[in-house]
Amino acid sequence: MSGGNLLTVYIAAVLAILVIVSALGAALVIYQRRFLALHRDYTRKLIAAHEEERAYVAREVHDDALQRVALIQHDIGDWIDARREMSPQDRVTTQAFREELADLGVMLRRVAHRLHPAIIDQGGLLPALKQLADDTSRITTVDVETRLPALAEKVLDRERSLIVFRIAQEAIRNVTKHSSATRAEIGVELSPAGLVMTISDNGRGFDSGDATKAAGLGMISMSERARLADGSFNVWSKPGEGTTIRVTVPVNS
Amino acid sequence: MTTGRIAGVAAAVWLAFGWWMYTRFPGVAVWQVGAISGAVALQLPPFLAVRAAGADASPARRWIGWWALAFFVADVAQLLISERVGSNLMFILLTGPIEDGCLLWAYSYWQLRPVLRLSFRVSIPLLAIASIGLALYAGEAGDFQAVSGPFRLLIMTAAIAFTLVSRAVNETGRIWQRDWMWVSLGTMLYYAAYVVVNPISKALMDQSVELAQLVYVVKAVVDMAAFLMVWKGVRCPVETSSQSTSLPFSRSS
Repeated sequence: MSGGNLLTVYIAAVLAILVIVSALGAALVIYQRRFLALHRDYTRKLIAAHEEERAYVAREVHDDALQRVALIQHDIGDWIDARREMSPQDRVTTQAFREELADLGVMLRRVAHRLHPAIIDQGGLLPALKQLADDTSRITTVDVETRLPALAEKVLDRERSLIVFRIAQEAIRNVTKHSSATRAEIGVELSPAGLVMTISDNGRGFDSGDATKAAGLGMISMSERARLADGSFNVWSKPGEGTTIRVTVPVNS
Repeated sequence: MTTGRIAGVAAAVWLAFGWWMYTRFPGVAVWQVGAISGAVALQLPPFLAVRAAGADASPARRWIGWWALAFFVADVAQLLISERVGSNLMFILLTGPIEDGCLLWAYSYWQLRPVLRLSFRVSIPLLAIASIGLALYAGEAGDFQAVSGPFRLLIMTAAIAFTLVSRAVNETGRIWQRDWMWVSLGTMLYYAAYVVVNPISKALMDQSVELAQLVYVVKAVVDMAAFLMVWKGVRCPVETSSQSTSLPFSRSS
């Protein structure tokens, strides 16, 4: 085979390998993008279905169960008032019924609010975070403070506000259940990257570099929600030094 | 259209084409005309068989049918052009990527993984671009085939051989009843003959023109065997179990 023929065959071989490798590389990139898009779409639909279900249950609790409890409370009150001559024992018992019902109403209201915070629709994210902090401080042993900016208007749309609120809910739940913390803070600020929410606590912390500990279902859920809002999610923690999570979400243009 | 009718059509085309060649190229021997026209005529049966199968033909077989038809049309057109104008190698530059594209698209349906299916399809435009680049590099039409031959052979035999091996390894049934097996054997035989015919013919041209012409006749006979295998492949029983992946955006073969 002459030198010229060898060169042409060599060129043809190199070109063929280039075509094959380029095709494989391009296919891998396209496949990965499609897979991620599908995964993201599936997650978005799953979360949307989840929110819809929660909203439905919250509505049922609020519109049906709570109303019935209020009605029963009212009926018991009327029944008690109609019986002027009641023994002290009966009066104590009926009073206990009323208190139990009042507690039940408070519990149902809390459940409904936790399932679907109506305050998000009315006031936006910041009032919802303030209420979350106040409720947590009242119910648990963790004192939750807030550091919220004074914003004249809502900077996030309803969907993103709900996503960020759910992340805050999950983070606070982790603080109260796992961290043994006594204090926590929910901070929100605006930056060029968008709205930044930081939740930190003084709990026992964990090794955030340990993949098995950092990849719990709660962490994955928060991370996925942040991604759905086109945002980012970061967590820093060290044993004995508490935990800080930061969520950055782009604001409405 | 039954197998007998398809064979009848092929035979009729063979005779008609052979007669046309015999009258237009009087210097060529009858048996040589018979071989060359037979090679062209036998490119029709795979296309006719797929058309006869109608909706029962899988997407892969349909594209094999288009590939065979592309070859038939290209060969007939080449002979007409060579008879009237002479040089027809620019026509090869146009038809080569179309033929190879049809075959690669057909083979993409036989891939077991979506990434590989994508890579087969992405390689089609890359192949076309590389062919044009080779043509520009080669300059003289005569040198073009010296470069494009090995290039096409490498790409196509790599694709065909990979499919043959990957499907054979995963096959649980009778491999000789699989369309991809017969089509792969036929196409590999065709491309192997395609790449060796030019250099051998050139080498023999100095010794004897008759010997150089004989090489093309031998290639024609090999092509006949190749397309008979392809025809056999597209008539294989349809597979009952799908080899497709479970990902929602992949398509089954």
